[in-house]
Amino acid sequence: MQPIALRTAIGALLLLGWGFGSGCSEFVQDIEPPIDEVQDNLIDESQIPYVIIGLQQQFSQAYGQAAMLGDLLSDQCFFDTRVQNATFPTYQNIDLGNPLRDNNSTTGAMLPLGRAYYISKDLLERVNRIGTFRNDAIRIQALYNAYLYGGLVRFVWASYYGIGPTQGGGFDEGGGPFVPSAQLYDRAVALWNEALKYAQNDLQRRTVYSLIARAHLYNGKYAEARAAAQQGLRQGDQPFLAQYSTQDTNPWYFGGGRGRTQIVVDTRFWQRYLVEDPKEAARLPVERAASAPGTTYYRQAKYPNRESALPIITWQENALMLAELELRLGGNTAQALALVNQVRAAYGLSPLSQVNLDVIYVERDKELFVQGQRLMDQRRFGRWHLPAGTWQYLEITERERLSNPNLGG
Amino acid sequence: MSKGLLTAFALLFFPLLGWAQEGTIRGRVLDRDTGEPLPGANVVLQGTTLGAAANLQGEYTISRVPPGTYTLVASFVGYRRAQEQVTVRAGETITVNFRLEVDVRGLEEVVVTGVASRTAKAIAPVSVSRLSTANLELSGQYTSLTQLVSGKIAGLQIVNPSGNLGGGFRFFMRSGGGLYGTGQPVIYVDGVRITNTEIGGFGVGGQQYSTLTGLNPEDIESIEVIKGAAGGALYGTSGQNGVILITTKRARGLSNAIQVDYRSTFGYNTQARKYDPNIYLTANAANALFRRGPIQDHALALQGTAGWTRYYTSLDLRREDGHLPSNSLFRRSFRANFDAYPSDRVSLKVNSFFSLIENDRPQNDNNIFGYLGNTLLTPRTWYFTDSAAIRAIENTFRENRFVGSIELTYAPMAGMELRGVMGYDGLDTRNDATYPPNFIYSGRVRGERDIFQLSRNQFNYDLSLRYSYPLFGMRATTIAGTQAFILTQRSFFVQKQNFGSELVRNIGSGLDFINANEAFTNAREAGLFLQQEFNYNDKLFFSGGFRWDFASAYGRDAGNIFYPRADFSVRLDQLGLLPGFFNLFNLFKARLAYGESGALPGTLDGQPLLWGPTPPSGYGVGLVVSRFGNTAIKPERTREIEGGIDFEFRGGYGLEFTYYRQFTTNSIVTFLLPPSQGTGVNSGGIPRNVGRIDAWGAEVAAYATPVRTRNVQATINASFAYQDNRVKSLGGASDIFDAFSFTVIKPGLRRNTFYVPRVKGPRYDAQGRFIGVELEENGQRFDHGSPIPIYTGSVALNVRLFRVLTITGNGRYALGHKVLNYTLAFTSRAGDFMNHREYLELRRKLGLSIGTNVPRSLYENIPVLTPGTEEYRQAAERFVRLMGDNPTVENYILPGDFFRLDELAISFDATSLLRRLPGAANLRSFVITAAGRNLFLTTRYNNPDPEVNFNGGITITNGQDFLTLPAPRVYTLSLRLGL
Repeated sequence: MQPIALRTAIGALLLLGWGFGSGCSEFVQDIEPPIDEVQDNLIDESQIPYVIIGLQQQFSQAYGQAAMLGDLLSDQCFFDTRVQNATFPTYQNIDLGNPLRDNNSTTGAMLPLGRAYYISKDLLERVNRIGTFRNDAIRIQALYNAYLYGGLVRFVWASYYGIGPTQGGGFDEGGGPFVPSAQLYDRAVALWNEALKYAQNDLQRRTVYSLIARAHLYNGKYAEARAAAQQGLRQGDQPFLAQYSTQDTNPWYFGGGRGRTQIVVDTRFWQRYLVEDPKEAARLPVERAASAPGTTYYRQAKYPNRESALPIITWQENALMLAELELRLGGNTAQALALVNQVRAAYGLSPLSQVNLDVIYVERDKELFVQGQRLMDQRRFGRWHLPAGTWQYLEITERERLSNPNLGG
Repeated sequence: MSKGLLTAFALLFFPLLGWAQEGTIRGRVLDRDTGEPLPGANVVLQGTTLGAAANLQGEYTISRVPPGTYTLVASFVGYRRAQEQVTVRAGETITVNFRLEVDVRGLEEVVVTGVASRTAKAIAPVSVSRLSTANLELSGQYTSLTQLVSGKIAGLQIVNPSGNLGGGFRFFMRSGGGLYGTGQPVIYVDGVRITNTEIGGFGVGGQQYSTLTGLNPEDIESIEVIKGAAGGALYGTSGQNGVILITTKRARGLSNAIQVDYRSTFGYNTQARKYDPNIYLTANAANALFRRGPIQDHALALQGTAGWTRYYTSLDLRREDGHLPSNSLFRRSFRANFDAYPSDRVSLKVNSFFSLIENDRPQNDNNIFGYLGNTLLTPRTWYFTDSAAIRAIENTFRENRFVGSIELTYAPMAGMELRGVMGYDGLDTRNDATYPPNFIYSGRVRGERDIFQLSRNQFNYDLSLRYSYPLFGMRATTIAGTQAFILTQRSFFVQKQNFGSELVRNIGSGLDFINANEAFTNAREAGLFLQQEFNYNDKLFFSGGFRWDFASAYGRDAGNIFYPRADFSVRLDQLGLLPGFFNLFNLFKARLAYGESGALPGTLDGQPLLWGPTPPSGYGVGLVVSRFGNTAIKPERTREIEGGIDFEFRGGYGLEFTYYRQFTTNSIVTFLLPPSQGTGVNSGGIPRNVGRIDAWGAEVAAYATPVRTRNVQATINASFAYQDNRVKSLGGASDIFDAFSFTVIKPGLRRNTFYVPRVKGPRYDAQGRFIGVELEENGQRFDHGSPIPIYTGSVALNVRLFRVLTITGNGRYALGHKVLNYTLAFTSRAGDFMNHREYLELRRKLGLSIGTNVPRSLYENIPVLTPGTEEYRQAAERFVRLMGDNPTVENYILPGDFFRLDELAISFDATSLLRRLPGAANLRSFVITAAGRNLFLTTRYNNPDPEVNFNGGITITNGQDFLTLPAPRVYTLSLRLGL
């Protein structure tokens, strides 16, 4: 080949190559976008209600899972392989108070909690970014929910999770330093105080006060707790619920329910409470679970379906908190008794004749059956049921420890 | 070959009377060692269009040869070509006989060494393994392509994670590529880039469906394997894990115009190795599940030539039941390959393949509906789910698959070739799962019906120009081309529960809606490549080139990527500069190659932060953060250097040795965000190009033909491969664990090595009572070895006796790796499973609680030992080595070394015997073969199969046996008839 021809050929080839190159570049970008994911910049004011739902949905999963695992760790429920289809070693470890750092059930519960944190924070930033809303009701709703659920996220960390067997706490900032429970409760209260500014009706306001009361109570701040509880939910108020659906199932359904029974309830519920007073069935719904021959186990029937809602807080709990606080603050015992009996009467149960902290402890056990509060009560009342050294919190798992620089990750 | 052949045919079929002034050449073409005729061998006069093909007796005749002196060349597939000078005089007939020498390793065969590059194997600069099915006793015993390839190529391991018919598998090419991606090679069938993936559908515990199930191994003519980036660079991103090129059968212009082949196979699958009753209390119940699953395969192939066209068609029906109930495979496949040579300059190849698959899958692995889970995990069988209920579950994959290509080659001038290929692979898969309402299933209210549908289309367009010309006394070749690839996949599913009669299974009649969803993927890749080659008389070869690559998966800020390559090879035996020592060799070649390739990011890794929908929730449908992408994401890059020496002694003994090193950088590592920060729903973190891994290994293939006489022929092939790797960096990201946190990707260790705590010993209280296990260094994790074999190898023997009896055997071994027997671990822990005999006995001796599931009769006669005694301490020492809880799972990470006799076949060739019968002169072949697969296994591993994995093939989890179905033993008997 002649040198000139070669040069021309190479030149032509390079030109052709460059042309093909830019063609390739355009060719590969010519794709259809994904059907179910959208870029962030597409979300404007009109999309805010969907972001709020995203927040509620993530939190309902976070709360349901933490509450269920909390009940498993507490003396209210337990795990036994004799129950048909009870196989998860992770559940067994939690039940024994030795949750282990690689417990993927615990990680599974932490993930939606973190996402709820992210969305609650994002909602606040988004509202700021948008500034003026065409429809201000959306802004108010966004702020109320951002603060309400932001507070709840801190509450869940403080109540259920821990970094040591008796060192409860979690994160105020995602990926930030570990914050002990006491500070997180305070932080939750601060956020709820912000939520109160955007509450759109009295029920919302009373709900938030009840939540504040509970955080103070668990934090040992009885006076503040009583003050809040007095403004909290009243008899007849609708409970504040974690909602589920067929496709976004109540964790109990497959954890300890009709979908699959791995977690069953302590024998005291069906051997003692229900025998002593069959009317307790109204607040202690249980049913027999299939198990090895010669054995008997009962599971909760409070959440019979995938979509059964799980109470986050109720007027009954508010009443029992008030009763307890009356006793703790050396207040009116008669008032405390009246509150306890008010709750009992709602189920057609006969009134009690006297009340003390032991009675409150038992009444809460029954009233808050499989609602995730027993773990906190056992710790508060100093009645831990497992050997010394066992975990009284769900251990924050490796997944967080290895990726959070503040935990040495 | 093709043009010569065509000419030969033209001459054969249109014989004209020889003119007096022309001459004739005739003779026979025979095997040098055995003296057998070689029907179909080509004899041509070099530089002319004159030639002929040998008939069944090996005879050829070339007429109308103008007087003169010629070089007469004889060639035949699998033999070295031979040539002779002849002088033809007018009116004379001369006789020239050829005795061809076997080309044991196909040194003269042309192999593909890259996109559009090919050389004779004797000078190939990269290690290319070619597997020709003509050398295999292919007689219906292969269910899948993977069985066909397994153990036959040094440096390629194929792991079948279960004994499921139709189940997925995994290729481990060399050291398994980089850190990211699936580690799977790109596979082309006749120029079509095909889907090589696993589809999960509705779970059966962990195993998936392989999209390679649809391919019919009987259709395959040859398989070429390019093992790493050095060879695969020009294939672009994804060439990191090598390229597998499959060529299907085409008409072979034999002297018969139409050739018919029929094959019929019968056989069965059966349990290969039993669960040990000394280990599992209920082993017999598990063993009783297994059955003889019948196999039937019928294949008919038709091929021939007509004018300037050739055709090959085949029809194959295969029906096979697994060795466990609920497992079967029914495949109907059809192929039509068509070649046309409308002019000297144009050739057209059309390939089309269609298959219909029905695959019933059994429940197993990590699954409360599993057959093995319900017979091995607890002393009470069918504890989780009733046996009748399990048998009633149906899980069926149905697939329609079309693979087709059109390849057009045009030679506008001498030495120049333009080639265009359009390939299409379309599959339409449906998975049905049915849980009838008349049985009880956990989580299902009165039965469940699930339907999943997936359709996937892949198009590839390849265009290349290849120009060969003399330059400075060498043959120079310039190759330029472009490739484009489009993938579109759509899927959806729906699930409902609460059905009426089990007789009605229409999903519309389910009362309760459970779930429905859809998914969609669209991705494109494109690239340009240029390569310059210089070949000095097939003695010296060097080339250099690059690929410029584009893909939609690259982040928008990442742009495009260049992959360079270069290689060199030299025939030391041919150079003539070297001492006489080299005369001992047919071949002595040294080679060196360098190349780069990569692994594509995930389809959406390059997108910015994405929001996705929540499931329809109790609050309605909302939006949540779904993915933290990285718009600067680009492919992982692997640089590979490989060098090797190939030599063959005169007489058919040879060795190929290859050493390689791979350096992978820019590996995509997902920076897991702390859960507290709100990780994404899908990816769980931010992908970044920060990881590094180095890998290295060596491959040896040795072959020998110690005996080759008329009555006895023997060949031995042996291969050995060593591979290893070290993760160098994750760029600061946290270690990556599998789902159960048993294996890890961690800097300083091998990829996916077992990484769990180490047991120190028992702990005692003041009274000397055993109170638990103590772990080394407070439960810190230690490296316990790789689940991937470090050393692998195979031995294959082929013996042919008295020209009628052929015995072939293939054995395969793997060493230096570990397997987790999680089945046994799971049943060796506190609670009520305790199906491990020794574990149970020790619990009793130590006075520990025993689950109520365990019949008292099994342990009540075992005396409880006294704490503090030597016996007691010994029992405790042993006990802590049998505990199978997650922190003590080390106890069940066992050596996985094994040797397996993969195949043994005996064939009786009755062709020449039957040909003597009246009317049977045209019988081309009549062969009866008895074959067995998986006939023998030796291993220290204590479950039946050390190669299984509970989570399927293409997964981060490797070497974990958890109630996983072992591979079956297979026996077949088949008859091959050729007319």
